[in-house]
Amino acid sequence: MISSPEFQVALGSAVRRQRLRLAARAVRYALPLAAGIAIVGLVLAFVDPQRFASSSRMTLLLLALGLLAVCLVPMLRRIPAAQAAKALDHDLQLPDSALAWVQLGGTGPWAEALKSESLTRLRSAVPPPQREEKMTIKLAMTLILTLLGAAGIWLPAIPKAVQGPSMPADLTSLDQVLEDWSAFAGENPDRGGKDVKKAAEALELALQDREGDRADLLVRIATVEDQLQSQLSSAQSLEALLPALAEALAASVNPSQAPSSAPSSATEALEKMAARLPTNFPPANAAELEALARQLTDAGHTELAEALRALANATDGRQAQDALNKLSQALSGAEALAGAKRILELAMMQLAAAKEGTGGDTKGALSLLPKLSELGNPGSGAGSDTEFPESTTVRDLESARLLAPVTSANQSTGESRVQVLPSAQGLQESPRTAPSNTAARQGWLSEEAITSEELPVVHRATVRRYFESIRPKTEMP
Amino acid sequence: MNSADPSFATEFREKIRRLETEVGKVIVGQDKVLEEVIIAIVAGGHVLLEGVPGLGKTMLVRSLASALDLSFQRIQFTPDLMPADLLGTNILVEEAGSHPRFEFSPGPVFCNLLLGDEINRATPKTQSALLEAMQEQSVTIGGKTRPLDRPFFVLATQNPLEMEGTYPLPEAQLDRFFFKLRVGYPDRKAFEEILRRTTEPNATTIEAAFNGTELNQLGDFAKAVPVPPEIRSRAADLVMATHPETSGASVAVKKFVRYGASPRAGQALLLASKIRALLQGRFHVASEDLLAFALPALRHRVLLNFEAQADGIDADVLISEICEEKSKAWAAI
Repeated sequence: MISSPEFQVALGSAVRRQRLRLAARAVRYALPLAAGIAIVGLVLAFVDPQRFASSSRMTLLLLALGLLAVCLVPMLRRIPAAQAAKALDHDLQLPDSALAWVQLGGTGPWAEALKSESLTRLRSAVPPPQREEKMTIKLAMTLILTLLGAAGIWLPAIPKAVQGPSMPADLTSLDQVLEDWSAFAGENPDRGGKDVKKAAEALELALQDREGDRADLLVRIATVEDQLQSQLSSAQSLEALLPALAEALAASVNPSQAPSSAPSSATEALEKMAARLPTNFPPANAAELEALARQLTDAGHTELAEALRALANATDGRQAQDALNKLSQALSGAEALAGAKRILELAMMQLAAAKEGTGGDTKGALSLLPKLSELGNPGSGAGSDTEFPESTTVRDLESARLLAPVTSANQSTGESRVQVLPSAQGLQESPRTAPSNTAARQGWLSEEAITSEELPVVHRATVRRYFESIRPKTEMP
Repeated sequence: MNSADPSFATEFREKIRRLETEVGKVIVGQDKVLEEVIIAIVAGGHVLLEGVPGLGKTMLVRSLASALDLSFQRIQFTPDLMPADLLGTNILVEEAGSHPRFEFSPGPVFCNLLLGDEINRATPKTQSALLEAMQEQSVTIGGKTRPLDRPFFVLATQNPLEMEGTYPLPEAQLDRFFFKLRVGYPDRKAFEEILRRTTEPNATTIEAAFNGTELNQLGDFAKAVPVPPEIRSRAADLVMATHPETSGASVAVKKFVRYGASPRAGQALLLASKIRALLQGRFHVASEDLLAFALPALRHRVLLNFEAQADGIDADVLISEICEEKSKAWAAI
């Protein structure tokens, strides 16, 4: 039927052009669909990254494979002769000459005339220009939307911006802290282990929902921080009050006796007091003990305050003995808590560093801190090196603290008390430098502001970092 | 010359062009109508010319008859025109020495080219008298069938403006017209030329381009032009698109068309397309030929419903929409 090589060549070219045309048409229809799916995937990845991030990437991959298949299928498709002839007529703008040739091109005078006429038209026809598909605005917009959708799904940066620390790697720092705390609590049940154990249990609870939202995780960690901060505040207040309590207990045995051998701790003073149970009831410094009890109540140590108040108000030996027993029990716990202050401070620092490490970039901050579990005995291990070293001079100074009752002239206003801190003999300089005192005060003030003000828990860390950033770092000469 | 020989195509074109030239000596500004009338005549079909008075319809037919060297008759259709006035009748003849006898007196229909002027003014009875003549090319009078001369063409005219006292042609008769052509006003340049020719001394004479025998030969040759199956399918597709009951009909067709075009429309389409193909120098029919004759071949065969008439919808609008739709569909690859 198709006897002319010239016509065959033209028909072959038309077949190739037709395949390309079909492929382009398929892409034109498939691209908006792909763009729509990509955008839906992108939106889902933003809305719920936990659930849709990986599935969206898989969808994108399937879309790419689908588009490729859509392009390839027309390229491999068999084009019938009649369709190729129609394409040739279309491309060369022939009046159905190729179609007539294919369908009528047999033998006979009319067929020969038809072929001759068709060849003449074929030779005189202007070859189709190698025009490329015009990039219409619609097509360009579709392409851009597809690329944006694909990039949004595929690139890890965009989902990460909205993705919480859901990946296990993000919680590595917190896991390390939890492991350290648990190990310390197990090895040191007495020396702060009990307090650290509580914090470890709270942290473990906070880390249980790993697939949850980042904001929820931050709230749970902030709760652990608040709990630690509360314990630390109690320890700090006890650390300040216990020396005064020791002195008051020592003085209650014999108020007139000069503190030639001041007790090193409240427990020691209590033991001495128990050994020489006073015979005068109530004790001579009952008012001082009552004042201390009020301070302890204000600081939240009600058990210790009640025991001290019972001792101050004891009217006979039995009541005094009961009060001493209660005071002994409360004092042991209080001294343990005060002793765990450094541990709790370190735990606080560890938690803050680990929380910062959940962003993925600041894991180094935790590595710079010592581990609780690696701390040895106090005074010999790494943890014994306190931030505010206590020297014997300081202890002497504290033991030399005197409480002098001063009665004001106006009785109606009640009595006031003045605490006199005499300086140590021969030492006129504070063991703590002024810059360190200032920095500590500024830190204390900022913490007080953070806890007293009504700040959202999730924003407390930010406010704290702000205070730290405006605090002068350089030490005064 | 063998009419089945494709080499006759050149002579075919020359004869048609010569005919156009001869008629064009008198008719100005109606080239398209002239070409379509010639094509219809070559195909052996009848033509219904519709147009306002004074556009040269009668002159066109008269000129064609002169250029084709055919016998020409003209009938002015009026309401009192009887079939016998058209076909002829048996009359009693009395001659000396013999018995009186009936002798057939042929009417004006016995000619090669019959011009039926204002055909819609005759009664349906008279209009129907033309049915047999147009289709069978014979008339039956007094129980005797008499064949008409070959070729036989009816070129009827009707005035679309004056509808008072007219009788619209029945569908059966309309269907027998190969084409229905609308004669419009000529453009300004042609109008000036008409004024010049008709108001100045004019000695134009029309010479015969060819005779009736050659016309029949041209028609036979045109029928030999091959039609690709795809094109034949498209012709059927085009005609079927006017049928409201088919699934492929457009919404407008379903809404406004009462009856679609008959198979005669398809025959007219293909026959006219073959002649046009030859005139275009082709040896096959193309889609563009079908579209070129869609309006004259279909417009009088599509019967619109009352809704279309109430909305002022014309058959030409519907057919143009169909052609546009089909043109896009056929061009799609």
